Amino acid sequence: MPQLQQIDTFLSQVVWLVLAFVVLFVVLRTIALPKIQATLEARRDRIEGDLDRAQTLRREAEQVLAEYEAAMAEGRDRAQAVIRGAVEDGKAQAATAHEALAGRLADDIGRAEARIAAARDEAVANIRDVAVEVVQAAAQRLIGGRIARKSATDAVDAVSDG
Amino acid sequence: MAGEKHGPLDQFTIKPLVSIDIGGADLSFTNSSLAMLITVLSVSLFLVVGMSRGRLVPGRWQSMAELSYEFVAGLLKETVGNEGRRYFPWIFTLFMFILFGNLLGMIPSAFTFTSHIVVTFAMALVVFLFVTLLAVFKHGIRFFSFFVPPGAPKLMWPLLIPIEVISYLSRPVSLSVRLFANMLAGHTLLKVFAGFVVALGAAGVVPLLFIVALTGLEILIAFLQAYVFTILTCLYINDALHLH
Repeated sequence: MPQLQQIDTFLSQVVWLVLAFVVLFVVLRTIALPKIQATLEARRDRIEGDLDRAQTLRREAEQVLAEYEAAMAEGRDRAQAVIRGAVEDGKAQAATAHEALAGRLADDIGRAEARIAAARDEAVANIRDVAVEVVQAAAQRLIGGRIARKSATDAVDAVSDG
Repeated sequence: MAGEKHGPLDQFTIKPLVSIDIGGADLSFTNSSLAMLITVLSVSLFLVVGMSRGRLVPGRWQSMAELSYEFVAGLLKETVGNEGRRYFPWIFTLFMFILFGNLLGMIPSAFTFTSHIVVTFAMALVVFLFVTLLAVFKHGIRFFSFFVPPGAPKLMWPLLIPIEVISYLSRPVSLSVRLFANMLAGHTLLKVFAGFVVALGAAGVVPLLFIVALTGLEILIAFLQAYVFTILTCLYINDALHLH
């Protein structure tokens, strides 16, 4: 086995091992490791910064949402108030319009009734005159002579019960 | 590779590429040194180029680089806790070095330097010495209470303390042999079955399929052993910091 037979190479192997190891150590210690550490740290800082910013933005967003909801609630309340006012206005207007209409209708009815009553009175009065003339005409035919308008009127009044 | 007899163990032969001799000591640049150099370059490129743009939203490459960082950081945090942070650069270098050494060794005809006991033992010994010194400096004489199992009756101490000491001293051995043996066994097995493919002719499809499956398993083991070496190092550091 060369590992145990080539004893004369042991010194060379160990010396080169130490040399190689120390060179590698120096390279890593001075160049590679600081670079890796710096990169990892920069990344960690960046991620933490991003998380912080995300947190801040989230809080801001929550605040904005709360404000929006408050504004919405206020708007809804105002809208409701406006609707309620409009409905009451409408009802009041409808009531006054209704009253005015009812008053006008009552007037019309009253006037119409008065006209009807007048017309009936007139008609009744005309019928009396006609009846008096009929009485006079009938009396002339029956007795051959005219009777006074006054007595005819009395006769008619006597038989008609007013 | 270019050996005379192509045995399954020839792949582990150390071959000098550039002969270097300093004061009589043979410090030749070998195929093992080359593999280490390529590992260092690969890890550096992987991390430095991958992170060069350092984008906030990482691409695939950058994700992998960050993933390796976070994987080791998580490992250290879980086993040692926040006190372990100061050892992170060492632990990370250790993990990446072993991981890339293992993985690059999976490239056919590449050399796997973690398959040599002297390399793994050197690493394990450094870990062991570091952890022991850390414990001694942190706890002083109280460090030796580590070898007394808590709650054990005094009568058992003569038996238990030697066991604890031996198990502590065997840490570098088990740590290094685990990595070395896994790499050695996997690569040897691949080579043995590769030999069957040629020897069996048309029927060689069967060992070929086996090699495909085994290669997948070896890649898993390459990762797993780097992970095990690292997590054990972390656990030893934890022991050193907290004793028990």
